[in-house]
Amino acid sequence: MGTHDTLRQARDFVRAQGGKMAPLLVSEEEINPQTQDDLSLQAYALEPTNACYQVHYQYPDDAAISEFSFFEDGRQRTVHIGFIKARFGSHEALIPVHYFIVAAVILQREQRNLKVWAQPLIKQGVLVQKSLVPNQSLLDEFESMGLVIEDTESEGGDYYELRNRALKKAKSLRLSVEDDLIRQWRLSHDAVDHFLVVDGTLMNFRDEQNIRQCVGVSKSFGSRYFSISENNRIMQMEEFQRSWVFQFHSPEEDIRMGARERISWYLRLRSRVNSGPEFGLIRVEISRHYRDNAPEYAERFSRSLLSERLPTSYPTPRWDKHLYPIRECENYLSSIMPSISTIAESMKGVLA
Amino acid sequence: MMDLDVFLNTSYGVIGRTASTKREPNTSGQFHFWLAKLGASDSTAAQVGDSSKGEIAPIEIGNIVAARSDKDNDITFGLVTEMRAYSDIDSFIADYLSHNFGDATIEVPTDISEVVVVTCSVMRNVSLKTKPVGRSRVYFPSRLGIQYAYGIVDENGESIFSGAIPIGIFENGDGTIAPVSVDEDFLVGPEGAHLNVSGISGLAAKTSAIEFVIKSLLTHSRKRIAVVMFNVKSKDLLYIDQPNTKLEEDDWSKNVYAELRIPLEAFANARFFAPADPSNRPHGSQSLRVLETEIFEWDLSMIYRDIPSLFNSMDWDDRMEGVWFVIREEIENERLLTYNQMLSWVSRQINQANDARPPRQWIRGNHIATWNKMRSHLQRFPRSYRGLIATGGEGRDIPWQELNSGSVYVIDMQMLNDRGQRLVFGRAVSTISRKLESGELDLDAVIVFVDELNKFAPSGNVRTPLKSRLIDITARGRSLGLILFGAEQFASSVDKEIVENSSTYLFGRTETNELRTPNYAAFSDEIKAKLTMLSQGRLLVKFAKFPQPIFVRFPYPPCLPGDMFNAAT
Repeated sequence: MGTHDTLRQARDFVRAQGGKMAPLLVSEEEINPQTQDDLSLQAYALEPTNACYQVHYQYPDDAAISEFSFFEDGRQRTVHIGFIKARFGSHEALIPVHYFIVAAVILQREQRNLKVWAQPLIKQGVLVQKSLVPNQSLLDEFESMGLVIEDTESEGGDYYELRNRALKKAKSLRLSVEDDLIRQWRLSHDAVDHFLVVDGTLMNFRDEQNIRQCVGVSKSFGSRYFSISENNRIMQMEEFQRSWVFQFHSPEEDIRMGARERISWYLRLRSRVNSGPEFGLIRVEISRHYRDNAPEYAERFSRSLLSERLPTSYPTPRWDKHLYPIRECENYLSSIMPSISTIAESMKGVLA
Repeated sequence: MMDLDVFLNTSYGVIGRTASTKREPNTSGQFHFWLAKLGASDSTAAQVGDSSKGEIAPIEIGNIVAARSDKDNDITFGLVTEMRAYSDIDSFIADYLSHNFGDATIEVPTDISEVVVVTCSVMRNVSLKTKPVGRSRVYFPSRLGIQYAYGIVDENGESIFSGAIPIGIFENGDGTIAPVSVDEDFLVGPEGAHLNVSGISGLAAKTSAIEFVIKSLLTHSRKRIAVVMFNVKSKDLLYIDQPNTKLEEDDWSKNVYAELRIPLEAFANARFFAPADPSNRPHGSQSLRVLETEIFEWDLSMIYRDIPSLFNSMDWDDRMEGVWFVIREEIENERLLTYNQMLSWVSRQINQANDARPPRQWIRGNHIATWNKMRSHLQRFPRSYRGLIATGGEGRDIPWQELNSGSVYVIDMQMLNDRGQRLVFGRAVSTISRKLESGELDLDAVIVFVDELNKFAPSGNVRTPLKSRLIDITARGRSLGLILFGAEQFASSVDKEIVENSSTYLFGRTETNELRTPNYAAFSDEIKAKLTMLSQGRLLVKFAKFPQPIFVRFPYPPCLPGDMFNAAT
């Protein structure tokens, strides 16, 4: 189903349930910007931590050399479009309804030009707590007509909690389409002898096998995994230096065991002169599969990532660590998603 | 349902897609599209070689494109008037940073995304409805598409002109060529008429263009047409009866002549006329042409009506006119038959008045000083207009009565000063006009071609009899059959009415300053920029029936440029 049909059905769904249209001109993602959620992990070093390591990278001779040809990113947009009156026990409650769209794309680089690999994966529909929807048969009817209705699965019918749930659900759906697209790529002929650069952490992808050819690049990180002095060493790394390779610790009792044993290291893409300690600092992740030769892989991928620092993504907010091909993934996804104003106007019946 | 494919070069494939944005919407008069990467999919550039993969279509300002609606129910043709290359670079500082803080030699692994957005002026659409262009795939048009876009042919390729006169070849970005014709009824009347060509001397090939158009006209026209050309400088038109040796070496030109069905022949029957050479009587002319040339000079009976126009406007006033009326009466009563007789008669009147006792101050109601002034001017004219005035015997005029269909007369007047040239040109125009009006000539039209038109009809408020006559000709001459083909360096230097009354306008390479004048206001900045760089042999054609101007290329003229004559021999 196309975007306009989905938007029209979403509007009809709210109205059919006796709800009111109340589209917001801002997405939940903008209201609640996400932070990395891998803050509580522990890590242990696979190399000595008493010094940082100079990447064997010759600038400018190596500037155009990067082994990466594939780049992946996903985006989500969750917009409050209305609310429905529902019975919750003896109370009457209002439950929010959201329109969501999640998408993932892989860009392929050929002769320095980017193009879309295969097809982007897109999923869109409505987010609502299904159990509280008053007319369940109408809900079934809309689903049978093709409207995707995802359950926000809350208890208690709290409006704010449900909005928060919608956001999390959208994230989960986005990770799911990213996971599917990565799988599709991994199983394709194109993936042979290639690695895929993924925007953000790989921690959210549970299937170790699926991310075996992925290189995650995180731009923000709020946690410290080493002692203060060791962490300071990372913060004071110079341009073209990387930290020691480390592996995240995963306790046996962790239900996501295995998912968080990824290999990682920090890398300074740019000189931090006259800038903060995080300027140009990224954290790279690869599968635990490479544990035995982790420093070699760190050296190898760091060289390519140092080349990827140009061209810059200026003036995006984190241009110092935002890889240009990843930014183009974002631009592509933005271009295929309906704008907030289109969503809002559709709910008023102007466009859809 | 009409087969839309016939209008498109489908084998080349899709070259872009139309896009309408909030800030720059498509309208019924203009649309935008971005250029696709060739070979990006099966439907694009099926015929493009591997070397072109990833490249964009070779399109430029002045090309024609065809936007086929996604609903497959219409094609809109557009003239490329503007091209802009947008990149992902937000500012110059962003690009500076992207090159590692100013390293201009750095090579980066990813090229910055760039898109070329093309703006087109709508020419015509297949549905013939006035509406904005919606989502469409953009192609190069086929040859039929190009000619349809310009309203030269209908959807079946049949000419919709009453008579098609080829004026050159249009070459599109994909290599498709299409003959470009104008409607005879709008070139030589009666619906519209006149042609003007402007451009920098030596670079615009104005004379060559006119010669080619005239050759085409004489070949294809169904009307009875004669041509009178005025050679105003050097040997420009003095050897148009000789074949152009350059043509033999130029296959492209030869192919164009074949394609347009124009014989590769010079104006072999052209007749050349020049003022007599008083120092080389009786047959010597002042022409630079060394081959056969006929002479002309006017005796008193031929020229006396034009004598007032020989005066400088500051010398001509009511008193002079009073004296002239007396002299003219004597001429019309056939008491004065030659110019010398007239001079003697005037001198005698003055002498008689001086010899009278007491001397008479007034001669036939006019003061003797005015007579003296008149005499001095009349004595000067045979020298000022050397070779034009037969002072003694009978004069020989250009044989206008022998003008018939296919005649080409070349009047050489390059040796004359500006006033002499104005006299020759003015007399010719009046005579032809009079003969056409009276039906003495068995012709539908006489084309008068003159270079440096600004000399005869300059812009500004100054009115001269010749300029007024030319304005009148361009305004009403088409009904008479008197057609003006004019050329000049700067259109702005020619009277506005004359330029605006021309139904066909050819622009050659033009200077930037000239392009700032109102004559070019309708052109986009990019079209103007292209005009400043136009190579020889290429012109921008504005024709009354074309929805948009068109860049055409024309071949070498069939006749020898005058300055090549010696080399050719």
